[in-house]
Amino acid sequence: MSEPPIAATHLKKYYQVHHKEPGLGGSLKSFFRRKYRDVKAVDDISFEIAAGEIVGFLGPNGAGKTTTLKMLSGLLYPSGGRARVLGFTPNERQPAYLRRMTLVMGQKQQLNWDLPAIETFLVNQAIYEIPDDVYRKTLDELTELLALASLLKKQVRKLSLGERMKCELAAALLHQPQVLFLDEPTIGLDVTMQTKIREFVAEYNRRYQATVILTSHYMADVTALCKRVIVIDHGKLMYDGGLEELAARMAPHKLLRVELASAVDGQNLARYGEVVKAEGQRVELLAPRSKISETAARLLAELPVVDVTIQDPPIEDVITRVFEEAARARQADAAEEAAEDD
Amino acid sequence: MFKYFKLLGIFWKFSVLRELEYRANFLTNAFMSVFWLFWGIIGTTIFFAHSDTLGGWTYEQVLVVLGLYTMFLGIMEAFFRPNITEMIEQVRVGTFDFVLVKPVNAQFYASFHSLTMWRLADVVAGAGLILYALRAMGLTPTPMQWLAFALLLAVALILVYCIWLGMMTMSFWFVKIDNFAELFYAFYETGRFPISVYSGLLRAFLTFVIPIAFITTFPASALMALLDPMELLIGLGLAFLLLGFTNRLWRFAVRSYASASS
Amino acid sequence: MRKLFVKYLVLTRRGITVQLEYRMAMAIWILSASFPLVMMAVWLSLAQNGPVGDFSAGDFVGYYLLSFYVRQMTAVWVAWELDYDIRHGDLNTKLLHPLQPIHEYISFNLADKAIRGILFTPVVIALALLLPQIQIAPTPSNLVFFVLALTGAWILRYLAQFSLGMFTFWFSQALVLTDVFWMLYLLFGGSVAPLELLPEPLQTIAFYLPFRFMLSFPVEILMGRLTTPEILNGMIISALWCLGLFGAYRLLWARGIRHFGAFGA
Repeated sequence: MSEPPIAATHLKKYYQVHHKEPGLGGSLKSFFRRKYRDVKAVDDISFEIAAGEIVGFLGPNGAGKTTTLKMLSGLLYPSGGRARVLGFTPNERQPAYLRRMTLVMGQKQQLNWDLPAIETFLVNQAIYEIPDDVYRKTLDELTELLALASLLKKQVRKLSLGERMKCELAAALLHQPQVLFLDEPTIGLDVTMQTKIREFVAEYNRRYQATVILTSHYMADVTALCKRVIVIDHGKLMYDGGLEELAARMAPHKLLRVELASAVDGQNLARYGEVVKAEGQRVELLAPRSKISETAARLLAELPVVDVTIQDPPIEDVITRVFEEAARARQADAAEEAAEDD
Repeated sequence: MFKYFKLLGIFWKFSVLRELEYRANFLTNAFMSVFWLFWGIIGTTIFFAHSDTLGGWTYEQVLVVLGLYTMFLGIMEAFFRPNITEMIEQVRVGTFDFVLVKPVNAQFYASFHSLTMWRLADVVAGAGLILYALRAMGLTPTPMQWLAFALLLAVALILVYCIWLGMMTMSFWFVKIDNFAELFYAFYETGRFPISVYSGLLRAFLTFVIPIAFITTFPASALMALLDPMELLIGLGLAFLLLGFTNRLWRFAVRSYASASS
Repeated sequence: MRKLFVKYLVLTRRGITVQLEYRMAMAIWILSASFPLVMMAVWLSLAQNGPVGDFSAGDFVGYYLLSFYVRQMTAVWVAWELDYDIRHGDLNTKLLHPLQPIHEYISFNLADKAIRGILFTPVVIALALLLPQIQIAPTPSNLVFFVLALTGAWILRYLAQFSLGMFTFWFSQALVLTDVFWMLYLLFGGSVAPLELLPEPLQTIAFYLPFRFMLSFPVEILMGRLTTPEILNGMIISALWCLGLFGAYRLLWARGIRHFGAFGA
């Protein structure tokens, strides 16, 4: 297949939101003349995803992750640009396309509350026209992978949140989709269950060579599963590439954890780098990546160092930093624009 | 096509299983069907205590109308009400997205995937009342009359479906309004009596705008040789028009839902 | 007592804001109450060729206009609220308030009554004055009696529905009782037909049941169809029904809450 399974070219989604001033006066005003404002939920995003890749979508709430997923899965019509998935235009929602993809939303469930999950599976078997033998084989595999055996015949409302999510995943994967859109699949789950779901997604991806897009609030999901991440903020694509490069690019610093034999005052420490934490003899410093070995050597030579370790700062912090910087840049831009307007 | 019949079977089996979880529903529904039917008969009897005819119809003839009213009440409650209730909830919570990503016609899925089996008791009760009234009058409809009745029944089914589809479509736009169905029932209440009871504008309204007359009065007329063939033709035309219109409305709504939600 | 009054004021005010928030839904509920109008249309078709019993066409219009008004002003849905709150456990929240839950429910209903009163009272008066067929000319004392009877009707409906709603404590299908009650109300309260027009033995039954005092009685007063002794007599019976239903409420509430506490929802 020459075309990549997922491709977005200059994808856009704008909403018109009408703008109302507060109070009755505002209501009346907007009754007669409505002011509209474009909200750019997704603003010119392009990327391609190769077969078998697992890609993480990162971004704060309202960044446009879910909107992008919805356009790719065919639930939303793009306002501009083009989405192609498996050679289809998603919003045409052709059955041939829908049979080859799936959408899992961690916050919403498709299983019926009153009945055991297996009943919903049977309905899905009919909807997706899965032949009996294939159905049985897939169900067996999923049952084994997700350890569903004891859950399938229990009423869904009697399952725990994690058990329910496992059943949700199985229901969404019975037709062996080649493309998976997972929107917050681990939300609200405890750590062990998160790990299990993660392992399952990795295993499914390996077995079926499925292409996966994943959004999650938990960085651990992303670091465990995705070699590649796409960072979206305010509808714009901020970064597309490897997770490690993201850290390198977005965080030009490394973290030095130093243990000292005796306390050193802050001013003295600041000569080596930005002091993140100084609690008596334990100190954390941020130093430029390029000079990291030099800095470490100087520290060892000049201070009573007991131990020193060099680490990448936690990815959460990196991401937060990226978004903060982006916000600052936007504000600066806006200020500049305002200045030009005057 | 065959796929859809098969799906219908599976949907209904699913619904029946779901209902068996609540067995007490069966008794209460059966009880209510019977109670409601007798209530309707007593109500009708009260009017005939003061007159021999109602809108030109005799007591037994009105009972046939009441039978159809009960039947269609059961049909609506069994086939349409659970689906509209569910769809309103799905649109509100956002799980309607799951319906849209399924490789099956969304209108078909949304319209028919739930069934409240117990309410079919009303259909049985209504049919029983029709047969009883026909016997009491000593009427045996001719094959032609049965045919006209069947056609008008089909017309009535289509009209009822269109009305409910229209109400379901509204739930895309008015998420908070879960009592559209109650409003329709307020009009449907008029269907207990032959349309000739109502005068002037109201009659025209109930014939052409919210065509209750085609649901209860005209099929009843067909069985008792009271039907004007024009009514059959108008009914077929109306069903055709309304089906086209509501289908379009639905498609338009799905499109605008897909471009508006976030 | 004063404290309770203040609580009522605050809760009712909140109720009004809530109801205004859902005005579209409320409008639909009001429009859905078409039953009396359908019955009126049917009776009018019978009254075309002369009066039915004691009722001329104009009397039917007046009767159903008033019974529409009485029904609106006594509308109660507390059984559904109770059913919801018991099932979903919302009743627990209400039980934690330092106020008997029934007061919270009632104040919400009063808010609705305030809105409907403002909405319908002028309309009904205007229609009664404008439509020439309607001949309603109540004496001042009958007006006072009407207001009393209307209040009584609301209290009766409220207590009865509250009591029936509480059966949800014990079995999940309890709303059926409310449905049955509703049908009996339509038949024996004077909605299907004015009670005078009910054939025997329905008429006799109707006079022994409480439903008359929930709908027909205030209407009869305002239509001038009752003598003062008849009105006073009715008032006494109505008050006795109120007492009886209040007793039922107290008993069911005490036992229901104990059951709720023991088993939950």
